Amino acid sequence: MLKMNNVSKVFQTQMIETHALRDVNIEIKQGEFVSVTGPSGSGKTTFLNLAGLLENLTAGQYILDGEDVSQLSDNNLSEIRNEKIGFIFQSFNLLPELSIFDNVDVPLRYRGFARAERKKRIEEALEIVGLSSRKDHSPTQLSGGQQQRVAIARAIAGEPKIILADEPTGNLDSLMARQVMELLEKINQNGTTIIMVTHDPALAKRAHREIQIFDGQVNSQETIDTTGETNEALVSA
Amino acid sequence: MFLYSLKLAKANLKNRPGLTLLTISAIAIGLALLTTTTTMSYQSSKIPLLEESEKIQTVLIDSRDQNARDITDVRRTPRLTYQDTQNLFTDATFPVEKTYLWKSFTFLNDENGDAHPRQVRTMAGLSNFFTMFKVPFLYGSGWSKADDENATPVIVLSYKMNQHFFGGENSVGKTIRINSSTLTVVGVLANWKLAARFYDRSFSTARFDDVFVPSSLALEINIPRRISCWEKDSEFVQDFSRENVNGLKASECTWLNLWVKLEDENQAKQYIDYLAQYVSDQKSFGRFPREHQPTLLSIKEYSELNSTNNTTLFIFALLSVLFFLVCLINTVGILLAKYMGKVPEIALRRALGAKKHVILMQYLIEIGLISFIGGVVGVILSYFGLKGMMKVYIYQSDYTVTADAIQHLYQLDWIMISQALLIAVGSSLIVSLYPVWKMCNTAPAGHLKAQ
Repeated sequence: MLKMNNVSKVFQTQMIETHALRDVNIEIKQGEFVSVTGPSGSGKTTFLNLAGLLENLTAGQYILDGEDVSQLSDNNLSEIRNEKIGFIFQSFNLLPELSIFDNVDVPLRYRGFARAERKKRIEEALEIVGLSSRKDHSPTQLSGGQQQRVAIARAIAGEPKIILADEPTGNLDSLMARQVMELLEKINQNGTTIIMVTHDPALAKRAHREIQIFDGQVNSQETIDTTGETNEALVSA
Repeated sequence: MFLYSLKLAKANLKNRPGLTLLTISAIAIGLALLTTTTTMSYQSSKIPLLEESEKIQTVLIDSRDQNARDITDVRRTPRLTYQDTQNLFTDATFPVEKTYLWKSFTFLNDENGDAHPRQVRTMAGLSNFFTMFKVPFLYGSGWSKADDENATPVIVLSYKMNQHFFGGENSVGKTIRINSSTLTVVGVLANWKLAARFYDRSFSTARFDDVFVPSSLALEINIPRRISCWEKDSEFVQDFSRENVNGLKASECTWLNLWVKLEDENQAKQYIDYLAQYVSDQKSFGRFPREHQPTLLSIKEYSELNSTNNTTLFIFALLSVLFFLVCLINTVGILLAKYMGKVPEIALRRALGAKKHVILMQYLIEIGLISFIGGVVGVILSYFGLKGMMKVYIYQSDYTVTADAIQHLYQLDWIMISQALLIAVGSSLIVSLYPVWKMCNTAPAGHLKAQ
């Protein structure tokens, strides 16, 4: 589903070069649930931004769903983001002036779906996250957990192949975090690949595989069995 | 996608309404001033009698003496003497439609003394003045050629004078007095909406003539004439203008406007040659001492010269353009302030799949909407601005000018309204394009985490 070969990202100012990622090699298969962990500033978010086509690579190759996306135009990248990738952010990123329904509608509008198709997808997505009855509410009328569920509905409404979640439970209490995590697991069980950046070791262990990033390099990749026990540890090159 | 962008743009107007209102106000105020001055300029530069304006031309020959001041502006060429006017008018060698006229001030009284006497602008001319210049009549018509020849005591009243002396009723056949002479009304003009009083070469927009009388009659009853005399005649100005008609006729004083109607450029060239020949012939009698090339100036050429030489309006227009530019720059500043807060939203929309040009379209539609509303408000303000400017003009003229006579010069028409809206929307879009495009190019990644 996702393959990065020797990917590097350097942020450059006039004075300083910051190597956010160096020679990263990662392969994530269709249907996997992968957690990405590491200390602050290690390059987790940069990895997620590259995976989500929100940043350009400095070097290397990135193959997404069988297509080399390293050199695509801005318009093509927008199309791929819209069709194949769903985003979930730590701070939800809902548009406060739009209703829940209209928030979920945003990526579908850019996809060019007809009104009836959009309505069907939005209602189904809100049904999955359990917020059908709140579709006309404003995001500000919802709790943090509910807002994150709306963000999840927005991410899944377009039926993407991959969902990128950046600290999806970071702003939630433990109960809400558990609900959101269960929802992500449910979505993953339907075949959607999920890559989740988290600081929480317990949540990281609930994924199929945990990738640890340290100083811009993949430090280790651990496959986790269903009981949460580590089966294998690989140190990247 | 356009409708979605429109929906978002409309919703955005309500977001931070104070800034939206400020933007609309900046555009509206700048545009109101611009539209006010451009409308005044546009209306005053309108060409009178447009369909005939290239054909009807005034004759410009200079019979003054050697010591007279040189002519640097063709419009300053003196009027014609009586003898030149008569020679050129009666000469049948170049058969074209011609008319001549001159201006005067008289006192008008009704026979019964019911209405107050009025000092009136009086135009003395020929019967064909009305047909040649397509003068519209409300009642009756102009006088006849026979009246020209017989100096018949007849008069044509303006709409305003008919209102004053006869309450607007059909006064044809009724009598009225100029000084001590009794004249019969043969016609009343409709409200003649002329862009400028071109026929006396003043191109004044302020006030039109109140009454028209045959030139022959005017000379017979000896109404005053506005004349310019040179050198040896200058000491007789008072005498010639008020008393001594025969002396004036024989003098080199200038006071008549001669108009000819020429069908095309070729005929105009031939007529100029004819005038040159006439001047040459007159030189042999000791007249036309100056080196001078006779010429013609059509109504259109005259109007164009006047409009390009209207310095006051030009300065007004320039200032209003500068003011509008300042308002536009302010508008862009306010919009940028408003849109800087929108960068995280743009980043989110980009992440969710919006292409740059879609985001650009959304914001340009919003700017288009704001500037259109600003444009509409600006047009409404300029309507009142024009009313105000008209009142100022009337006040400056010590109320000798009425609103009726000049309101057409302070009127918005559809051309000006469309132009104003186009300027508001077009210029706002142009000046906003770069900053909005720059905003659309913001890298989304940097703003998603921060929200």
